[in-house]
Amino acid sequence: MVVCKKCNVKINTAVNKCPLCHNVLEEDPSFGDFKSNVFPYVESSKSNGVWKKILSIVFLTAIVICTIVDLFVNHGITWSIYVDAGVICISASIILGLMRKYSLSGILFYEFIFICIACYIWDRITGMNNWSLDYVIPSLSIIYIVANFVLRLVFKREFLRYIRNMFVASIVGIICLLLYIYKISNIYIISLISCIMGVFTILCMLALDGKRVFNELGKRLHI
Amino acid sequence: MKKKKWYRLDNTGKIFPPVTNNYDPNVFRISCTLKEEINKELLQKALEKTLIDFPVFNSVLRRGFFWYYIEEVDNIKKVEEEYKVPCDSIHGILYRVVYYKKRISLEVSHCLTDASGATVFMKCLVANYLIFKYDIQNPEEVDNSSTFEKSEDAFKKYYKDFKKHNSGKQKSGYKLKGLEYDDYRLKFIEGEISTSKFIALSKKYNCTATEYLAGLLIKSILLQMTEREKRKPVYLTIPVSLRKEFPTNTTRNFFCAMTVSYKSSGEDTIEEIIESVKKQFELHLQKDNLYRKMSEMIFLENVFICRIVPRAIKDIILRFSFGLTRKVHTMGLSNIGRITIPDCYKDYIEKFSFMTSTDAMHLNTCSFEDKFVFSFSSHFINTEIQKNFIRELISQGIDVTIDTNELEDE
Repeated sequence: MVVCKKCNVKINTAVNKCPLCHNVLEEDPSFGDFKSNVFPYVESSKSNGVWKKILSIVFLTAIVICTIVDLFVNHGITWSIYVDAGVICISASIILGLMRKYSLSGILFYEFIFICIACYIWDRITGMNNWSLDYVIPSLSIIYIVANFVLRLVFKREFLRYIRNMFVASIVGIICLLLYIYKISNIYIISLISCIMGVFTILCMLALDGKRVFNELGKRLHI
Repeated sequence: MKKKKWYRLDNTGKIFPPVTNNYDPNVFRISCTLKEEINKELLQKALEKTLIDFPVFNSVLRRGFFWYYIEEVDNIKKVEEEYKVPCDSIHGILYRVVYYKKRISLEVSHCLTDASGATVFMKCLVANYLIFKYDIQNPEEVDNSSTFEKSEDAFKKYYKDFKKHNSGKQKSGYKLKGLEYDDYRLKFIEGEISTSKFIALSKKYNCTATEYLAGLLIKSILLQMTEREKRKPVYLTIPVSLRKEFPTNTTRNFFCAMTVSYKSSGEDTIEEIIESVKKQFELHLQKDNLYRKMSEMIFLENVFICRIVPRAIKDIILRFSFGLTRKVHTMGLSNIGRITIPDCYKDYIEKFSFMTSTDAMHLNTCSFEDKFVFSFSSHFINTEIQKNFIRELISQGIDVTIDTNELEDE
């Protein structure tokens, strides 16, 4: 045990500076001897967030270069606004994918929702032939349902863990067919497949264990 | 397959998930230092036995569409030798049990329980460990409540109605600032003093231990403030366990927070500060006021429109309103008081200590027999407040022994 003569306090930890006044302790018989420490020494992790920082720099550089080139060539902002928006969307999607607080199925869920919304907004803004509702969103719902079945098989987790993902993807699939029926989208076959997949998924879940599915929904949707 | 039990978050627990982040993971730790080194296998066995009586602790936080909820899981976390900074983020199961040399530490997320609830769990864990280790014959029971009582939501039990009360707008307070440690790591300074000497000191000022702690802490903060900064009041946020006024055996959250303020008057003698603190304590701790505070907290939760707002939107609103409450927050002070345990275990226990994560600085205290332990947790490299606090205690004739966690940046 060491005593800081300035603070007049006894220090149990093997340190060479007083934790209170930060003065060097004159006598330090236990220096190097960690026997009396009540906390282990923890080194800081230097690699924290390095990838996020590198990606941010790359994306920011891309945005700045595109904007400058556009300004020099066209004397105004023309095509670069689309490139910048595209870069922002891609970076948002990557950041979402790197979020540690979500599990793999959680990341896939938020990516699915994000890509659907982003594609629809791009489609509206650019006025390009309804491609998001015709192709992208129904295809995504099919891919997403299949991905969840694969995840379930690979990780051998309870199917109830994927209930949110399955239900949302199925409902999106069913909405796709409704959009075709109400003439909002134009491609029949892909909308039909996504709807069949959706209905099939919901029926599968109810057939496997309907009671537990309802219990799980009650839990997740409790008000 | 076994049906998994799930619980709605209690009223206080609802605020924590949206405001939890790497900077303040809202984790607190209760440690028990024994007289001999810890045996890992026996500690694991004791944990498994304890969890039978506290199934609600073996839960994970889940996201529902409207609310978060907690769900019991089957797998039990393994006890580990400590290798992280205390009160580090908790993922998955909402607690962790770690040990280091002679010390067992229970770290829990605030979504699950408060310090009083976790203390009951910790006492049972330590008792079970000691029974295995020393083969204690006819051990006394630490806790007699049923598993149902332990997991009940006491806020719901006592809530009747709500009467609107205008508490008035509070002026924004002094905020602690300064250079911080990297990677959101916290510096802990744990001090040990004699309980009897400390109580005698409080009595000298004719106040309770918590009132004296609050007064001393305000004095320590004022000492390092500039004259310009002293224009702003100092606010201490102090959690109050509601179990005393509203009896319950729940181990889940059942507390409210009171705010004690002090605006510099120039002299700022300790007597003057304690007098002001005492008056505020008296007012806040009246049963009616505690009930009103509790009702205010529960009222919004019971409004149907608020309940049907999706969780993602609730998160944003709660984060924003929590940010507003932080305008009247300088530092936190938690005193869980005297920890008691049956006599047959006392001989094996050195002391208990209590610490929390924080978004700035927090002082936590508890006592066991004649050992009063206080712990400062702080993000700041500057330790003037801790120094002022401890030097003041020493100047009053109290011997202080401190422990700390070593960080690279020092």
